[in-house]
Amino acid sequence: MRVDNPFAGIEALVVDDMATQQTTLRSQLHMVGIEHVDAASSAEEALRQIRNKRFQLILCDYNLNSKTDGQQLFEYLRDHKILAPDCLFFMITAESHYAAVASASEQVPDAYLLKPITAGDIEERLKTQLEKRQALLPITKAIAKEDPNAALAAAEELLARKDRWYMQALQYKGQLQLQLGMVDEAKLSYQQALQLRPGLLWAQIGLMRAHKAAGAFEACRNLAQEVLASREGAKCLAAHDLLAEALEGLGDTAAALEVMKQAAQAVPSTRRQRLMAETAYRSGDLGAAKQAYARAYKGSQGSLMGQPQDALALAQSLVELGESQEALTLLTEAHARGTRGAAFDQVALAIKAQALAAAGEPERAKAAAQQALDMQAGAGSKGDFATLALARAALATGQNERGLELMRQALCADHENKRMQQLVARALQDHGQGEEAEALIASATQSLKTRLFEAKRLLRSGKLDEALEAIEAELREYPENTTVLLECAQMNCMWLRLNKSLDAIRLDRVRDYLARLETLLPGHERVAQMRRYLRETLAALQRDGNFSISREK
Amino acid sequence: MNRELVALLAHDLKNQLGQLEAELAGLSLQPEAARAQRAHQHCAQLRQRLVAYLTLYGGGAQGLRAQLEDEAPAEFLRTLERIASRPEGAPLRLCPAAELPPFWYFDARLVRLALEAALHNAWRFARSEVSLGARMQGGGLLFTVEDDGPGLGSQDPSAQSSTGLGMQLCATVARAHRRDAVRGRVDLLPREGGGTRFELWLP
Repeated sequence: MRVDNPFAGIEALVVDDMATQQTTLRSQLHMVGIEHVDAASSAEEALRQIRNKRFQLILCDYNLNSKTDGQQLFEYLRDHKILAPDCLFFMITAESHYAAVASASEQVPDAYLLKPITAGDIEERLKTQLEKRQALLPITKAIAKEDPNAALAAAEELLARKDRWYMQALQYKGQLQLQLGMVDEAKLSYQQALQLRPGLLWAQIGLMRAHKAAGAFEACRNLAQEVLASREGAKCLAAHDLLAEALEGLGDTAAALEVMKQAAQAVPSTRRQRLMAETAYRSGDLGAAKQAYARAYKGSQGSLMGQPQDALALAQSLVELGESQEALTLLTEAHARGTRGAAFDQVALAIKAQALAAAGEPERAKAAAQQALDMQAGAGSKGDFATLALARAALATGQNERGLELMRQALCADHENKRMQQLVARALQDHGQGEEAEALIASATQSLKTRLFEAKRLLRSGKLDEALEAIEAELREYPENTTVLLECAQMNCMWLRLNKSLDAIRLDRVRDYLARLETLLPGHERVAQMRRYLRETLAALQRDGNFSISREK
Repeated sequence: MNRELVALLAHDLKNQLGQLEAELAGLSLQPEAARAQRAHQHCAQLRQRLVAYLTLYGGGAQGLRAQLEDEAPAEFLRTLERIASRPEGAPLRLCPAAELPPFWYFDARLVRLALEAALHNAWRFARSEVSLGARMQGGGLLFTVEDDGPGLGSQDPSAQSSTGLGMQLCATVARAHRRDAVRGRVDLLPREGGGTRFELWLP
């Protein structure tokens, strides 16, 4: 045994379906000095173990010979934040797969190890990754504490050292600047990286995000197209996503759908099929939506990647395509697979009602619709797939008023959301009320617009407190309304400026609004502008008075 | 790949495998740590050659792709001192330049594979000295492997057949490294004072 063993405390997990390979990896880890090694032979088993115990190192084979492969396991762990922040994830791949795996993944593990692996390979990678982790710790710690300002300062400090981790620090710097709404500064960081190393993929992606956050959709589109035309970036998923977003921003939804189709072709994963299907459904290409949802649904059965929503979205697409019998069969089949909870059952009933109505069974349709609508009683207003399915069920079973009311709710939930307006218009069209769409959208959004206008009028006449009270009342009613959230953030910033105060509660509130906006409108220009406004507010207050900026929580 | 080359590769691997088999047979009769260690080295060399073949010919129509990452050249050089396939007693002196950049973009796995092949080449010819260096030159990172052997154009002194695989691998790895339109390159040059100097330059 080694005397100076830097890895003695490490708890490791080996994930491989082959028992012999497990044994080999285990003994190689022992040779490196890692004594505590657990093993799992499938993604599901690994997931159980990772939930129960804190590992610092996971060695996972890419090919697990089951529904869920190593990359999917890794993405699942990251997406669901199951992986401890100090846990290293090493992916083991065969030589022949490596290029394909590495160039086309949603998320990149800490290292790829290529078979055949030696103890020396593991030791070297482990040493480098632990050094890197150590060097970046001040940045990652601040990020974990949700203090982007401190993280940015830590990145600057690391950059000043001009050492081996310079580019890693620069990558963080760009990310953090974007997060803080410092769009122009972020652009400079990414350009600097590209000057140091032309063609760096992460810097090009960062630059696209900066363009998008600045509302420069054309610049974003051009750069994305350039990257996708290059050898290195041809399969880059982030570039596909950003290109599609830029095209949608430019109003070209058909081209955006085409890009999402290409991405799903380049990487035919469940997630890609799902994303493509959502875009197709939104833009009204029901045939493409059906195909992709079917692939996502079938491809993920019995895998970690499975989501009940796939069956519902597929069934809804089938109903809208006029294939009601297929929709009913699918819903029965999905139900037979076990209960998925009340939310699932409610939407399933709503779709079933639509299918039954289309199949000429009005009585059964009505019963199903009633059951679904009864489950809705007392629920708040949401602008989601479920609300629209319910509204469609009501319209299909002759409950016109109830249907329109649900649509009104869905529209108000985020009244400037064009996507929702399109979906509502389509639902009305499908039920022979297309000509009423415009009027419904106008009337549903008008009252909210009027109330927001009223709040702004109060603001202009100097009654800031009353304006704030009014706008925050709207937010309580419509907590996911992005326009209201933006107004709330802005008015609170104004309040801080006018009162020359750094009131901690109010500051926290603004940060909470911004965090909510980030999940509703990721990387959006208006959110970036608001972040900038908050930063300028803080800077102005600090300049004028002798305040010290309160740290972010 | 043509038939002649396939035959040559198979022949090469068969010879090395035969040698390893003999060593293992001997060990099974009379286990001994030192001989086991040698057998391990030979096994590692065989693996190194197989990976080299695969890297050259297993890539398909796409050709070899380098995954460039920011690596620390000085650190990287030190890892080459510990390669498992290094024959017992083989000389190796590291000569990193004093002002190496803190990071440079290259595919550490491929460059290690190439330099490992270049080192084995040098060890076949060297009398008593092999040195591995790194420095900046012409806006790129230059790795050098020098030996004090008989120099370019001389007969391979070892019993092993040489397939020229090593140099071919190095050239392919170098070309896979690009910075804009500039590609990496390799060179074999006479060394000052006798011997051979191998260069691998990465943009």
